[in-house]
Amino acid sequence: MNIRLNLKAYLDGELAPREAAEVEAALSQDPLLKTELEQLRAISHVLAYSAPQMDPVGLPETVERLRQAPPCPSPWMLPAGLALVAVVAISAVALIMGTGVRPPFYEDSPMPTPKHKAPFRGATGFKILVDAKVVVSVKNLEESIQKVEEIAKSFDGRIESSRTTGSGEPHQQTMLVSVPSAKLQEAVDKFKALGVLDKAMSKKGSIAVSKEAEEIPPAERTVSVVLRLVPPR
Amino acid sequence: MLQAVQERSSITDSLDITQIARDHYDSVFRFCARRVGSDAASDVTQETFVTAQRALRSFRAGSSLKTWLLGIANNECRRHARHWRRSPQALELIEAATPSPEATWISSQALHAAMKKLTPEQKEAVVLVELDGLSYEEAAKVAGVPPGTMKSRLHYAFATLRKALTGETE
Repeated sequence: MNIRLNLKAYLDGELAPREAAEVEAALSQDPLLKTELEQLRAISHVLAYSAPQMDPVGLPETVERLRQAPPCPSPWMLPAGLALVAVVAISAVALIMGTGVRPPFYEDSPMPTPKHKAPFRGATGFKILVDAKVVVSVKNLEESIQKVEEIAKSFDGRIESSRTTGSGEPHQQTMLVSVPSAKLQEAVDKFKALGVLDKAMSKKGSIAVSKEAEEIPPAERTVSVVLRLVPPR
Repeated sequence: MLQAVQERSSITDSLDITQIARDHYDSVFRFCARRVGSDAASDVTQETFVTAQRALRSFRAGSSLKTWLLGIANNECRRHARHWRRSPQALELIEAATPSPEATWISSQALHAAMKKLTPEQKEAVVLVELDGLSYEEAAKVAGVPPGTMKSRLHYAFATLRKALTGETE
């Protein structure tokens, strides 16, 4: 293998012992490689040295605001009537660069827990909070985001979260929307009409429903949809 | 199952968001300041903790609180940039007034020029690891890419910087 590919990782102590030993063996035999390593070390040092020193401000204000925020109630302590609200998860993805980009890591974490019911886990260990996914391609991400908000509002729903992903210019948007369960299908149809539907990525009905999920009474089950917005190529 | 849910809840309930803010405010503030500038950093940092407060139940016990917060902060910085309809000014290095004594062959101006040769993804990788001080795994989580991709981006970023600074050609 090309030792140079591991040189920076070796410098940062990010290699496994066996790989590090390979780099060290190569360094002992190649003076040019050793020079490169020292150059990388110098660049790293200068970069760190160039970091501006900033004194954080605003901690008291932030703590005060956090204290004033209402506590998040336990899911199972909420009134049963709220169980009528279904959650629609909209994952809106627009790809500008032509390749898929993974969402930020914390979107790999379980989605925000619906306030009206307890979380539950599927056979894979992931919570099942998304029952359907809709993926569409759109030409204008900002306009589409606004349309999603309008659709949610028109169905007496709300945006639970809206996350931009992709490095550099935002080119994908993940949104979590709640709508009343009775209006779910109609809302989903509206979301599908936002752009070109990616049938392969879209799923209908419960996703990965496990035996545990079957223990959830149907009336309290969260019905959700994931929608991705992808600009046409 | 209810017991499992209650156990999970007790873990998240035990996390005091105000204490989390006290513990992590400085690192989140500096992270944000490098991306949105020092003027907007306090607002974006506050929004980060407010978002974290709402999403605290989705935090996985055993995960790194720091990288979870920085992931939220990264998203808030992007949201801020989108709101103001501009690219994150982030990733722009402010040159130190005094050059590093250990690398006098690298001038601040040359480094600044060399950084412009990097792709946005490479710049992000450099800032996450070199300035924010994250490990490859932590940086990968914040950027939302596999660790291998982060390693690769750093390799090519530093290869580009080294060649630009030494005048070496292919």
